[in-house]
Amino acid sequence: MRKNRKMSKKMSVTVGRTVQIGAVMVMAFAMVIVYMLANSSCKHLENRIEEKKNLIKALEDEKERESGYLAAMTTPSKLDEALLKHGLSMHSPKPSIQVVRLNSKGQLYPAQLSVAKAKERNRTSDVAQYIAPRPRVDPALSAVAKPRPAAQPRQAASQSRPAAASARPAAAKPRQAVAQARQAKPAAPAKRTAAVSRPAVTRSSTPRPASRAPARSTASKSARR
Amino acid sequence: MLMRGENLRFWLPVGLLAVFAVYTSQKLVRAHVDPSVDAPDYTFKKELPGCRGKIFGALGTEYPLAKSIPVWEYRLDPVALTNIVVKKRGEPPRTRDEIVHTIAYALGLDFEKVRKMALNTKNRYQYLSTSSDSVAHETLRDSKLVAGVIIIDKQVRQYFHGRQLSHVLGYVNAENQGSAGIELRYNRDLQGVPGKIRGMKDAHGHEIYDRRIEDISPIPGADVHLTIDHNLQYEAEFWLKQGVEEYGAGSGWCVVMDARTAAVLAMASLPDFDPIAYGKASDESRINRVTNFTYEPGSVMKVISVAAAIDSKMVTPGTRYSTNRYDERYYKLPGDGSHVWEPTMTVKDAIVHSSNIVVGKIGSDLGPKRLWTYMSDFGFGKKTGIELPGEEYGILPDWRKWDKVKWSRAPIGQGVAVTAMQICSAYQAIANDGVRMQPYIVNKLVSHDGREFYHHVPKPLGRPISAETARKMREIMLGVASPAGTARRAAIRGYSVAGKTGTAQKVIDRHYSDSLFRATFCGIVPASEPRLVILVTLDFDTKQKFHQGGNSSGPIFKRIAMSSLRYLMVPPDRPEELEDGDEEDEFDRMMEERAKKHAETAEN
Repeated sequence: MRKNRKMSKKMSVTVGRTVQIGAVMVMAFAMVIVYMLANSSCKHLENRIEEKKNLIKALEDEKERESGYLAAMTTPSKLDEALLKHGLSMHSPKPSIQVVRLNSKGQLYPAQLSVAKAKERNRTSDVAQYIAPRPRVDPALSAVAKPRPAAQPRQAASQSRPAAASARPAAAKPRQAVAQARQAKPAAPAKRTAAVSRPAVTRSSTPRPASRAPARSTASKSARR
Repeated sequence: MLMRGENLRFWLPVGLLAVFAVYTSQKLVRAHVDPSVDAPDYTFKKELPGCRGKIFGALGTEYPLAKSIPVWEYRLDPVALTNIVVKKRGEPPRTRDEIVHTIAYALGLDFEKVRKMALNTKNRYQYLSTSSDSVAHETLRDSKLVAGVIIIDKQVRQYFHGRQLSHVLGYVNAENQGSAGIELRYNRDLQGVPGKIRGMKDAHGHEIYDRRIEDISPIPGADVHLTIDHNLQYEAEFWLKQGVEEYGAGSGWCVVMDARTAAVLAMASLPDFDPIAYGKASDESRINRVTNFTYEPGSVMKVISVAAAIDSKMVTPGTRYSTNRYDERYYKLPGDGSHVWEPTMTVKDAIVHSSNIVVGKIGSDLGPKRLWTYMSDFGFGKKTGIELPGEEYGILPDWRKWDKVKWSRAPIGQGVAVTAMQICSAYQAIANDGVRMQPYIVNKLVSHDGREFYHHVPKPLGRPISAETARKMREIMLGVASPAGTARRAAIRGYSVAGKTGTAQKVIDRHYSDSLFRATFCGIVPASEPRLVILVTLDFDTKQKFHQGGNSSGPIFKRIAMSSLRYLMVPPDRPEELEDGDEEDEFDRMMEERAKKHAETAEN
């Protein structure tokens, strides 16, 4: 018990009231200073942000104005005037002097007179391939690898079985067909084409399908007239 | 009665406090209850206008057709100009004349005019100028140089092509609201949503940023993308304007339409107006005659009547008709003027030579009900649905109300009223193998954040005639632009042109005039693989020598078509005609003449 009393006496060291008040005031002062510093810094940042915002707005507006000037200067009438100012008279190129141009896919740009004329003169020439762009396959091979028409009358199919059988492996293995065709003589593809085209003759006896053009509905016709 | 000293020391402060409390209470009551007391308002409010969306053509965002530009509006406060001392450090204060000179020089105004305004102290809000010059703005906002200048941020709508496309784009009024054309039709999408700022301000009126209560940013309006190609528009308007002057027409209009999708690539109507100075434009010049004006089409309607007859298997292009006007089978047929025909004529020749008698007979044979049905299917008598305000319906009376005269008059384009867009749409059906598409001019709407919230998909409206009939009609119409036809001046070497002329008499005082006409040519090029449908109409207010569709509108059609086909790189479908290269010389000559005209205009 005595020990405890001594300990308790030691622990209860009294701090002067002045010191307490002083500490509180220092803390308060420090807090005020920190607050003022933070506040000032925030205000400064806020002002800078506002300035930057205004600058962005001003620059955006300037950009709009400048793009407006540019748009006003590049109208067809202004361009015409500018060309004439420099003694130039320019217009769309003549179809006959246009350079033959192909796009990245190898397709032809339209409005090329030279190609149009060639199209009229010789549709089977090399130029014609460019006129109507198709997958670049040897014409002989395409004839060999041509898939059979799906729907055929039974009789016609049975008659054309040997030819179809000869064509089927080529269709199934195009690489082999390519190799065979390359090895074959130039006349060979023509024979094969003829063999393949034979069933088409027998098929001609069957009635032709209706025209692809969409017909007008009879209901609407009858209602109208 | 005298108080003791203690009481006095107690009651005196209490009394003073009481007086102060009463005074304060009275002031508070007055401030809150009495509205006559002026309390300084430190509330800061500012409305931020939403930037109006842009209008683009078919060539993309690099070429805007209309756009709002931020500008500054300057106003003068003479009282502030006089009272505020303006000086730089170490320099004497600037005089009023010096300040006025600075203002006038910056805005490019007359010094005397600004000086007079500065002396008028009664008006403290005088308009000076509106300018987008940033140098002038920097000068006028410098408080060490000028005083009394009020600067207002504004948005001004700019139309980069001036009077061109004025009927399509329309204009915005002083309140920045669309009042015509696309600006009116899509006003809600274009105008955006305004934002606002609310907070506190200091004694100088500047906003206190850290007291901002509300800050709502404006939402810019959506952008409208049109199908109009401004290069084609320029060509169309140029040649139309030249044609109107050349042939002495009072007004004229034209449409260039994609034959497959019915997208309008160019649309022009003369007289036009300046969309910036719309207040000065006359009512006549503000009418878009392509969609908002109806008229009797004349012979261009014959194509529809013959197409109806062929489609209903009543005739073929080779069917022969008697050219006798006084045939007993028919009632009061229209005449063909002084033309002398062979005793009989084929249906094809009736179109090529534009015979009123034969087409009148065909219409009479067809009967009013069938003819009306076909006309209705071709879109006459109803709106085409193009996205322009104020489109007319046209007049196509019910067939039950047709008298016997109308049986033979409606097939030749009399007694019915149409818009140019309706004719163009009907010819588009013939060009598109019988499928009539809805004409459109708006391709897409894109919001400010790049989201495409509307995209037009070409929409078929019906099939008035079969593909076979359409092909036959195009073959028949080829003859019109041939040497034997009524529009040989509309023929283009290297390209096949299928078209029809129309010379409609104008109705003056309820009678057909013999001297005033509306000349139309509507054509399809190239006829073998149609790409464009072009309609040109000239309206003559005075008697002119070349008043026929083939002689006046035909050549204009040819010029527009030649320019358009070259620009669109459409390959010639008759290349054999181009072997000698004459047509190129013709085009070159045409363009040289145009260059000369431009040069003359520039000199003037």
